[in-house]
Amino acid sequence: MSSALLPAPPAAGAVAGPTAAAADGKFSIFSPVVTVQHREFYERIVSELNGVFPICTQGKCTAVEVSGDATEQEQITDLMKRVESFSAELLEVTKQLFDQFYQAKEHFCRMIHGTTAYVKINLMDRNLMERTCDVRWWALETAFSDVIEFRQRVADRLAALQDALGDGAKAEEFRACLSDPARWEVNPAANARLRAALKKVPADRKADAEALAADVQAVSKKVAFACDRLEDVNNSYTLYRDLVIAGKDGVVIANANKATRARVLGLTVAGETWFQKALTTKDGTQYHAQDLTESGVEADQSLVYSAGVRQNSDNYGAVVGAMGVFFDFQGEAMMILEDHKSRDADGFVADGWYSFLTNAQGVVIASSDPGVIEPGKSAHLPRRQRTPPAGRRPMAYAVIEGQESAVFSARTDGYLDYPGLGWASHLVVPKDQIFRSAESGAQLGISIAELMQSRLVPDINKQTFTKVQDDKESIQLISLNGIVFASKLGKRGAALGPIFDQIKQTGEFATSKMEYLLTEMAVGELQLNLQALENFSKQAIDLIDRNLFERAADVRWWATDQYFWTALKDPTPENCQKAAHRMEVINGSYTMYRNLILANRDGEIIASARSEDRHKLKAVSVYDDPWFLMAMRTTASSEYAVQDVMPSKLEARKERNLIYSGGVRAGGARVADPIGVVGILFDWDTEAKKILATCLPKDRDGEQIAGCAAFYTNAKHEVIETTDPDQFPVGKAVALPALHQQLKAGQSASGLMLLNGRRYILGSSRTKGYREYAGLGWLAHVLRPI
Amino acid sequence: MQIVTFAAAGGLHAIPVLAVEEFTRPVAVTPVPLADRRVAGLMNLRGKSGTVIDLRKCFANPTGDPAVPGKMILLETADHLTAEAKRLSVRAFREPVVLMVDRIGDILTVRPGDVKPRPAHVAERFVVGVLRHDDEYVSLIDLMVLIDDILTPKGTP
Repeated sequence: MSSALLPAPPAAGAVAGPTAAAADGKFSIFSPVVTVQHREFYERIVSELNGVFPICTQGKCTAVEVSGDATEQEQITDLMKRVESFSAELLEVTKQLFDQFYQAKEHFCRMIHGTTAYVKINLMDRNLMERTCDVRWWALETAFSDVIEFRQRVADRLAALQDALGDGAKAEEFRACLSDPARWEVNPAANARLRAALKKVPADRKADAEALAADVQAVSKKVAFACDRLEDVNNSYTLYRDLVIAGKDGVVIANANKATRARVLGLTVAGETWFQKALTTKDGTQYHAQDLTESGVEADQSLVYSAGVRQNSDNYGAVVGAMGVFFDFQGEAMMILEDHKSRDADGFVADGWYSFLTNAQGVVIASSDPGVIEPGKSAHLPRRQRTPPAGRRPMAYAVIEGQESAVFSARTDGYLDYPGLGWASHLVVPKDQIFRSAESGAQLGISIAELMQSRLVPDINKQTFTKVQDDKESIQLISLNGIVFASKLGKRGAALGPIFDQIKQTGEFATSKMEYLLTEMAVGELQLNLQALENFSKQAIDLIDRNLFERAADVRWWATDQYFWTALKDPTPENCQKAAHRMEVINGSYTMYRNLILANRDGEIIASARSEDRHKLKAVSVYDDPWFLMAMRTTASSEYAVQDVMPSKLEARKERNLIYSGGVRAGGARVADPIGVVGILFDWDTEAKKILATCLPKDRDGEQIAGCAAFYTNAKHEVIETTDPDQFPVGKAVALPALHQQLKAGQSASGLMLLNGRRYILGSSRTKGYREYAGLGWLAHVLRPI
Repeated sequence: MQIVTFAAAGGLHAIPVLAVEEFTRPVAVTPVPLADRRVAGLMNLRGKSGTVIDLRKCFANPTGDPAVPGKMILLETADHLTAEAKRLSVRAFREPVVLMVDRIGDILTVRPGDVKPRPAHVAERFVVGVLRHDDEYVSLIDLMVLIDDILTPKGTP
């Protein structure tokens, strides 16, 4: 027996891969996921093959009847024995075929959906990592330390005055103002009342009180300025619901959200954890990430990042207050959860597909369908799945809303130095979706024979396919020889003919059904692979979109920086030096930029971050550069410009630059004509390469598949970054199938393509932008040789 | 009479079942120097040896590529023909000969009336007639004409 060809148990284990070891092993033909069609196939194949044995027995008896010749008898008996042995082998193969079939499907879905769950939590993590940089950076803005310190000094003096005045009736109004729940720092009416009361203090304190009254007014001006700056931040970074500054006593003295300002200012957050933790930070590099919690500032549960506001805005100054940024977690989560779900023709999410996030305690914190998977409640999942161990991607079958479903989970493993909050992402897919038959009749663009030989089909299936074809041939030859033999016996052989006919028919029926199943398996594998590549390309474009959104936010914020507009208004060497120093500081805290440039309205560079390049840049005019011209045309600080990937004279050494720019306005005004431009040179090749490398397909053992490539193309279909510089060099236009080139924003496609005589499967996605970042019409492509 | 069909050179052909000794998968063939190009060589199967004629090379205008590995048909020798075969005037060569074809087809039963004479455009002399089967034409091959042409030396002094 050719047992080497049979899918023996250890080999079947290899199909499922090491990760599937935890799954409930084998699929028997009686498993409810096995489709009715397949069960019918199985029963018919088995019954046909089983029917061969009595036929062979009959054949052996007939041989004795029709011939007295021992050699002749032996010849017939020998043929029958061979048929029996082939049939027995085919029965074995059939039994394992379905297990093989369903294991492969399960494994593949596990890979696709597990990756999707992981991508979702990873997107969230990357986003949250950026927030930790933001809050640390903003907390050191001078406007904030200034208002807090000044307010504290004025408050101290007011308290001293109150003590000096004693309990006298004359100071009653003044005392009432200080204890007024409408706080004088933030409420204009209360501020005016306090100033009026100060005027009425006894004559011996008059001079002191008048000076104080002026400073009390100055506090409210500084508060208004701090609020303005927070609004500027919020206009540049639209993913926050609010940003607040609180004094050391926990009183909120500035916020960004105008709509809630009346309620939020003067509020005490002294009891809230994010505030307390911010006060304990050791220096400007520390921050606190507060998992979703109730807060007086926002009605919804809030994810708060906080950092200490330090004396003189110095990195190592004493903590004088705190800054808290309230991230729009729900909004961001919905964006992430809505992706990667099966949709019907009208764009509705198919029934039974859910996506949700849980925190470290396994409590649902965001859900794509809050009516079914309720936020705030513990997720109805097996324990191991509810709070999966770090870096694992478990999968389990569970009943969700009365439907047998597969749940794929992935837990954050943090991103760069950001450890994450221990959250996990879960994807619920109806079980029958996983095991549904491949769509037949679909245009494959590849012949079955070629597909069966491709690298997509697992070796074990190839072996089974070859074996089935081989057995089919053997049975055919045996029965043909039998018929030839019978016909030579003349009349005596007449009884043998029908037996061989029967054997031939049975063999053909059973083997052709098995071949059909194997090709169905291969088609399914192809379709799942196409889906996987589509997902990878979507991941690649999503990651770059979000990354570039942050860049667009950064440049808008920096364009409002006081040092920059001061240097442009009054370009003394000292002011330019200060602006350059500020750029150096910024560049030092962000790794994804190569340089920052400040240009005046004539296109002359007056400051830049890299001191070693400054003398060279002095001679450069950027007046004709798109990034400069476009930024000069902006009319408000909420606008920005971007110059698509192309060479730039700012960096002669680099072939490609991606430059974001924003107009700098006098006095940091929100709406005005620019007096100059800030340009930031994004470290495009490094960042894009990093992202592309994470989007390359991996095999069942998590190893990268050889020959795969991922690359971005711009709107002109030229490669702008690549993992394979030999096949897809940067700057070269790639001839991709029309379907892929004509994708609309946010769409994905997959298919086969022929390139340099080699067949590939390819998945592509076009940018749909992220929030107000529209994207540049780029596409991400991932391809795999087959 | 029963015939067996097989594919070669892009067409379907047939010979009488009684002229067949055995069908097999291809076995190793030893090339013969200076032989006719239609002769693939000599083969040996379980002690039976024979000359292998590659039928795919016997047609003037073959279509398609020859299947690899293809199939072999071991033919009966003249002295092994059954009485029934002789009655039906099935002919066989005196020495063992093997045909190389792409694929074995079906066994059919034909009546003499089913067979039409060889069409005028068919150049091969060994095709003695055609018949229709399942929308396809099957050409009947006279083995003696085919083999004689290749294996019986003519015109040599």
